[in-house]
Amino acid sequence: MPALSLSVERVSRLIGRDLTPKDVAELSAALGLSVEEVVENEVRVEYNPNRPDFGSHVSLARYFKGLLGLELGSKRYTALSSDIRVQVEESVEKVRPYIVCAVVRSLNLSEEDIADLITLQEDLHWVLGRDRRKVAIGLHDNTKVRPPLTYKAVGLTEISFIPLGAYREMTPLQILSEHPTGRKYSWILEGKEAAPIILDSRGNVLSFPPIINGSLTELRPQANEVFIDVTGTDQKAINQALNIIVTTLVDLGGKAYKTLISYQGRRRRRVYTPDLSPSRWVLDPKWASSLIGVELTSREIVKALRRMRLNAKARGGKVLAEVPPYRVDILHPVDLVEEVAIGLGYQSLEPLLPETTGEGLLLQSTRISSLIRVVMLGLGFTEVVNTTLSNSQRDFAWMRLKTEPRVKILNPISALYDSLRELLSPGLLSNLALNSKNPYPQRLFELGDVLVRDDSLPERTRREMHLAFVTCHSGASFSEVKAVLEEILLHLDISAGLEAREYPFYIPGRSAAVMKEGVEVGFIGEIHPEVLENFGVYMPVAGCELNLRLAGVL
Amino acid sequence: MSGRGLSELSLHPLEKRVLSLVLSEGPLGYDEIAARLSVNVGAIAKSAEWLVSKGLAEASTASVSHVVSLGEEGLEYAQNGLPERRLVEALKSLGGRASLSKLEEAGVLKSGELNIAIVWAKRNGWISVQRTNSEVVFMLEKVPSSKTDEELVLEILKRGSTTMEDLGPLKQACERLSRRPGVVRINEIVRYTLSPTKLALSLPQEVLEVREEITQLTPELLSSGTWRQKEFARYDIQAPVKPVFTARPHPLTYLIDVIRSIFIELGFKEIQGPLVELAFWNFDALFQPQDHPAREMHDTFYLSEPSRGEPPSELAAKVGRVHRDGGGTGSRGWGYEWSLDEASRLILRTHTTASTIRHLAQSSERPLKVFTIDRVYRNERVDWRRLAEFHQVEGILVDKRANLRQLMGVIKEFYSRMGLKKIRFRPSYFPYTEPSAEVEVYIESRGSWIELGGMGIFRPEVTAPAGVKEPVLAWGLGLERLALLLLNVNDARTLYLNDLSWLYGFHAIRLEKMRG
Repeated sequence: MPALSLSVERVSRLIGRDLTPKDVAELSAALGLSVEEVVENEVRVEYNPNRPDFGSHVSLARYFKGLLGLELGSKRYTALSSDIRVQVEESVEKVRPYIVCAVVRSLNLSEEDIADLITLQEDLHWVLGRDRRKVAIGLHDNTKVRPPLTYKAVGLTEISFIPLGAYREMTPLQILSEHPTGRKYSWILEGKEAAPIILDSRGNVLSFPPIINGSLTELRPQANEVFIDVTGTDQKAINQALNIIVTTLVDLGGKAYKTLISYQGRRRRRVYTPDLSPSRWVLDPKWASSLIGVELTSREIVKALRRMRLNAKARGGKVLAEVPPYRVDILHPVDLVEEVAIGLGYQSLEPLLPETTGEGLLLQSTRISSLIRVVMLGLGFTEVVNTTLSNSQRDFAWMRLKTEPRVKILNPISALYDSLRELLSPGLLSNLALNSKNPYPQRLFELGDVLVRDDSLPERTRREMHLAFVTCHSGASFSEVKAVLEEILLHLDISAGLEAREYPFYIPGRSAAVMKEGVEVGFIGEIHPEVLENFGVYMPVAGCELNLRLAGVL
Repeated sequence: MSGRGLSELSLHPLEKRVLSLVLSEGPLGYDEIAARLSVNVGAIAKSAEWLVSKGLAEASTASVSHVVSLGEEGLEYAQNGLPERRLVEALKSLGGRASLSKLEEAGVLKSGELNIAIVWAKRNGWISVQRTNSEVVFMLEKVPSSKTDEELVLEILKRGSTTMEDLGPLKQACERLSRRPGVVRINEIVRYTLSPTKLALSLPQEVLEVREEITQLTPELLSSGTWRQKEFARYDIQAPVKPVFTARPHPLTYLIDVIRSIFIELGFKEIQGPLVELAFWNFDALFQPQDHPAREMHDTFYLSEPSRGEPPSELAAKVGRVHRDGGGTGSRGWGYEWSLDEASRLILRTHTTASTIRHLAQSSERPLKVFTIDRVYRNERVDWRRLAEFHQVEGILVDKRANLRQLMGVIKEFYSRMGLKKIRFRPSYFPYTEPSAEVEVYIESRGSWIELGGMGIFRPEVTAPAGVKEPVLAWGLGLERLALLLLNVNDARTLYLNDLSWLYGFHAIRLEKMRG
């Protein structure tokens, strides 16, 4: 989740009211942010990725004012017309197809404002931009920009300019291989033969998206005008990012201006950006009331929505709402129902136990598991719980099995896991190894699922419950586990018998298959000393594992 | 003895035997009593102590002896010779004269020993010391040809300890050695003699009658009734015993059972879904767009084998339309081209909501109240707070009257039955619920609010393709986080280590008391 460190002082100034850290924490939580830490005059919060408009002090101040009742409803955001044109050449189509731009004037950005903007930009890169792949934002000092602009793709060594953070001219190829930022993001352009570039009328490079801006147009404190470019692979997402940046700058006192984006060639079309018009929604008050569980009038709903900084009015038994252009999370009227609930305050909603009746019922497998557990505890075996995530080296090589796991993981982050367990016994041996300093005898059992391939099912695998147990002490023997197995079979009403059979993980001549009606439903024996060595167990072990489905228990 | 007749006097059989012996033979030493009765001296001493405390015998000091044995240094001297002996031998081999540095070089003596050797050799008149301007020189005066008394003592003690008294004329040498630190140890041993008192002489004969002692009651003693003629040996009830451990359920299993019982009490039916899941049920059916960060490789385990499954085609088509443009649900959709192949990928489910949406799409039972407590997976590096495999407590309630306050009500009731009464909700976000909330529980012992789970009402984009018209209240709570709080464990990995010392330290009773 994206994180923000809120300065209580800055929030207070933006709101025009002295707030304490506790106030800021409470307002944040009421809005749905997660408060991580309060340190002196800083409140560390995290916000959910559906709300990229939460990404700055400025935008949060907007919502805090609503919750405090200082400002209700939404500001009417408009973009004035201008003669700034951006020409989009066909060459970018295969590299980075879309661009939107805007200009904001009449600003006087402080250092804090710029820091805030950069945090917002970085979070948007992550949340909407999927680490700049889908959306990348460039912020420039507009006074250094000479329109009209051109967005085109150039060869990787065709052009050179001084990027941010460097003191010499570099070609796109040099930037990608030598500049730290270039190296960090070069994966996005991997396999592309050309570099997307934004140039002004004098041929100066504003930006090499999604990698880096030119140093010429760098945004510095006291800047009065900002030029914004947003490029990407998704037209909708770049519009959303542009709207969030532009409205934030407008909230800082700026005036927004439109730019004309003019696509050349096959894609020929003209678009004015930004489009700051609100979207219009109709909400049924009865439906909203029934979902929240509070009887609400249209007026009460309007009031709650306005606290959430939406424009709303009651008309003909319905509520008409206007959603400002920075809200990218509203997809369905149900999203407005949540706005109403947050506007009322979750703390004000009294929890109510539902009267909906239902019949409590456990799964048969749960009931039988409980029964088996009682039997095993009665036999003096302590329960262990291991993960189903497993390691094939341990489960196969250490067990002296030549086979491969049948359910494998494609992308494990940790080398600890690469497959799903097919047997419980290796886990029990690991447990014994870990417990070598604890007193003996040790008797352990596990009752749990293993994974089995089954191509007849849509998910191609099935979980099956096994029961495995081990006994470990200086006198652990086949006869001890055989006696335990016989008691289990008797208790669980399984008519099965033993048939001499050898297994790689058991001592030859001291193991057997558990057979039921000609089917092998499990195995039992003394663990092979080589297996014990592999696991690091230096005490004799005898054990048994049963497939409860094959045994007819489940 | 006042208030109690002598005939009622309670004597242990050994006390009776000891007393009888000294009554007939007169005063005897403990070791002699022990030899006569074939019982170890310790037991005799204990019986004697009791007899003395009961006023039946008197113990008097018969003799004191001093046992001598080698100390740590002494063991070394006995092995290698006394330092002063080694010094003169070294001087002799150096031509009868050597400087301090020469002696140090010779290396016959460790640095600590050299000083000791010089002191004793000088005192014995074996060497003399000359100081010149630049150095100290040692001169050999005489080499004692035979062994000194001290050396003889060491030789004796090398064979085993002895008493001072047995050393005879070597006693003085031993005393001299005892003044050198760590060479010999001398322990004083006092021998007592036990003699009967007047009171003992007046004891009625039957009090001293020794009856056979029973250490273990046997079936034979019971069936023959002969136990009546015998006495039971008395136990030292404070003596340590070998510990026994009951076999135990794993704490997580215990906790899961507790939670199951709560949902059963609240009228929920248990369900279960697959661990290996189609991306379709885990994500797509829950309106999670295909480029959602949660679906990325670094969050979700994908399978390489088998890698693809088969989503239900009719439902998949509907879900695809909802993702694209809302599919007539009143939603705008995510606005992208949905891929069936992406939805066919097999993963390890990241949440148990995959199982509740499956159940919901297949069940027409209304109202519906189901729950599941089961394993889920996240492709994360494991540390003290994060596990790659853990459990969720998931449930849904489907009813046309269902609402957000009721959802809060179910969760509040659940935690209250777990003994966690202080609870609050704040807005949250999940792609498949709206409104959504996060529950925080106040933990008294930590003095802080802890996030324990998410919840919400399924979005129309989720319910409409599945043919569900009623609101669906849904929640997914973390089991391990709750377990850490309730079991007072700090490292989540502890839960799956199965360390017996931890398993045996689990007190279910504390959990039950805390639940109230």
